[in-house]
Amino acid sequence: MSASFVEILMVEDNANDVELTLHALRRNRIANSIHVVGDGEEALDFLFRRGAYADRGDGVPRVILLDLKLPKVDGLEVLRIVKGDERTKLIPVVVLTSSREEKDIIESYRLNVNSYIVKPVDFEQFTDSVRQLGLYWMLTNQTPS
Amino acid sequence: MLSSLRPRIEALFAAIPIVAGAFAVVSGALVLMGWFLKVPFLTSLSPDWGSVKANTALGLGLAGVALILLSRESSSRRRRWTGYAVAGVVALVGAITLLEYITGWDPGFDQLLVTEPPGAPGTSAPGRMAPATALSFLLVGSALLLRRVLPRRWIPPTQSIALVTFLLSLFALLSHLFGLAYYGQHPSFTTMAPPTAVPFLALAVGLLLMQANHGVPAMLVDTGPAGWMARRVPLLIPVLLLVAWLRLLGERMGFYALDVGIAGLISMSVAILSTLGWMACKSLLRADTDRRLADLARLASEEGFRATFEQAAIGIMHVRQGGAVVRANRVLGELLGYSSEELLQMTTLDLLHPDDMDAALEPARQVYEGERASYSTEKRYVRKDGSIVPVHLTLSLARTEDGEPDYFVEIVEDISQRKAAEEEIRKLNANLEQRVLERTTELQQANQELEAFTYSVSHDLRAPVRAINGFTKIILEDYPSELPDEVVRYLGLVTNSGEYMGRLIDDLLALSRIGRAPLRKQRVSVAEIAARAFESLHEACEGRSVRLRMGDLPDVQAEPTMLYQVFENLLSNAVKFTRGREEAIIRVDARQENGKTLYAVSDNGAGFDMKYANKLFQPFQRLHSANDFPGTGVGLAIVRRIVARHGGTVRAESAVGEGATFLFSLG
Repeated sequence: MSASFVEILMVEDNANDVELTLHALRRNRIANSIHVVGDGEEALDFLFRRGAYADRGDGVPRVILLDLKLPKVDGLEVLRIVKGDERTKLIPVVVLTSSREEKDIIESYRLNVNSYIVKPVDFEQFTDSVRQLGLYWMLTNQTPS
Repeated sequence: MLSSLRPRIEALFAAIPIVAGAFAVVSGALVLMGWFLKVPFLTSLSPDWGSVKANTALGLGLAGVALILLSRESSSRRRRWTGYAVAGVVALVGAITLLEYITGWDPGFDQLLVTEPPGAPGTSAPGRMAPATALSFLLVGSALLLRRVLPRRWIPPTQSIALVTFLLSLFALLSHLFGLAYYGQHPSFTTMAPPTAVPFLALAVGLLLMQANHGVPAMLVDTGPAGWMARRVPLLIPVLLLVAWLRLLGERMGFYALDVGIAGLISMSVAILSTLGWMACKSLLRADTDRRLADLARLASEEGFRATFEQAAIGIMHVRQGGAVVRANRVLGELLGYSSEELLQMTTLDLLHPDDMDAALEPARQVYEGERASYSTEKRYVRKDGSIVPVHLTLSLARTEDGEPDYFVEIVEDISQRKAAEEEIRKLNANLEQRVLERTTELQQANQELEAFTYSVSHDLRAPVRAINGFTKIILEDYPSELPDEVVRYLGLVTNSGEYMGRLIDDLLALSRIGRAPLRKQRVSVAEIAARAFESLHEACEGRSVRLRMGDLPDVQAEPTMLYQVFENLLSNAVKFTRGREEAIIRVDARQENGKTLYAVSDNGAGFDMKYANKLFQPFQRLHSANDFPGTGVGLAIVRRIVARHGGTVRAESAVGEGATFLFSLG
């Protein structure tokens, strides 16, 4: 896994959700370059070019889709590290989770998350959410280059 | 009777010495005047009697002055010493004259004031007073000087001397009155003239009554038989005198001979004295009987008291000020482990627990000073074996007949059983509280675990449901032409079930969230929240005629988002169950019930049978089939939870086909 340029980094341990998200993005032709990692540690390795990603090329993703419930390092911890590091703090992070818990939402915003989206059970709503976030973060939003 | 007269009698006794003294002074002054002005009438009254000598007149006057000066008990020091000095002069006059008689010595003392020509009747030496008079002066002077000598058992010397003086004067007077002129037969003696004898009698009476609280005067006012007797003895004097005088008169008139007269006198005297004696005996007998009866009564009451004291089932002791135990009953001894004899050697300070001592002093002082009648308190006493016994102590004061504090009466009740019971109750209560606390903690923990479990299950269930729904939808959308119609229909059913399961999970999560979310109450406008909740239901109302009528809704203290959920659920039910109505009317009102504000949401919908009312608020309980009215059956459970968390209650009223009313309060 050493893609030269990654537009979206998706941190998600549920293969079904990965599949559904990719399906939705593909259908809306939003992103071509998506990298998926299954846990928080791998996500951090990718971002900071450590471990398996030590010889990954330069560049950071345009957006990170982050689940909160993750093996090893959980989503909030990943968020805290990403937003606390000079190299990564400007990357928009969208939390995409099943949790409607207020404390998760509050904590995420306290850690400067850019969006917090609850995964709907309904497929159409889910597809719609992914489409909207993709459109916004990939096409509308301007990030400092 | 006597006691009511007592103040007057005492005043009389106080006046008599003054009057007697004054009488003697006036007598003496008149006689001296007679000597200086040479008026024989003033010096001897009758030419048959001997004259009152100038020294006698002076002595009488001085004796009268001394008696007046010394008669008052509480006189000034100066007055007292003047009185003693004058009394000393009186005694000296008597003593010098007596010395003249005994030794034959004549220093001219008798003629010091006035020169009397020789040959006066009844006079042995010119100007010299009679020996009886001289003796009387010595006695009167001594009696006055001895007025402060008050032996306890005997009659005071002043009074015995007064009695002797009285008898001497009486004898002299009677001698003259009866014409015996006893002294006259002995020319070497001067007789005491009647004008001398009468002032002496007065002085003697004055001396006798001078010490009002001692001897004779005290005896005269005594209320018992002694006083009765004492008051009658003086009456004997005139009676006996009268009898003797009558006898003498009869004898002189020649009615009977000397021996008959003496026999008669003796008989009469015996009769009079016997009568008096008999009366005295009767008086004594009556007094004695009274006393014996009183003794019996007192004995009986003391018996009763002793029995009460000893047999009382409560500890009693009598305690002097300072704490010395003077009486203690058996029960107290048994309670404290001491014998009654041992208790009598102790003070209350030995019995009291040292820590309770300070608190005991002030109330005891107040009772002693009469600031309060009694006081009760709980104290600890220390037994002989050192163990501690809690007691209830009641302390009061016994007074003497004069009202002076005598001793404390302390009632001591053993309250160890009560204390033990109280301690037991206290322990049980503490235990109970502890157990309630433990149980509450356990329950809270179990509840939290259950909540966490519910949350985690619901949460984790979402992912597979999402996968089922998602992939089914992808199949249906991406490959519609490749699937047989039957498969498309089945996949549609799978999608429906998946979506229903998704709603169930969402509701379940909402229900679980209410239990865990913090309750931040604030003042909220119920009308505004109800209106907003109704607004959110506009989709469900589309194509129907649904009217909301709102009454006057007072503001309330509540968590706004939760209250919103309450109205959202109740209004959504109302909208749902009025589906069959041409015009749905939903009312939101407030009413007062038992001092609480009840909010009511009513509709004119399908209603329900009241016998299922208790099932309404249970999660997943539904009274209508999902085909008639879709829903998960969690909404009212959420309502009840929110209301309960606000400390309120919720209930429903309805009848089938007649609409339903949901009423709730918020604490």
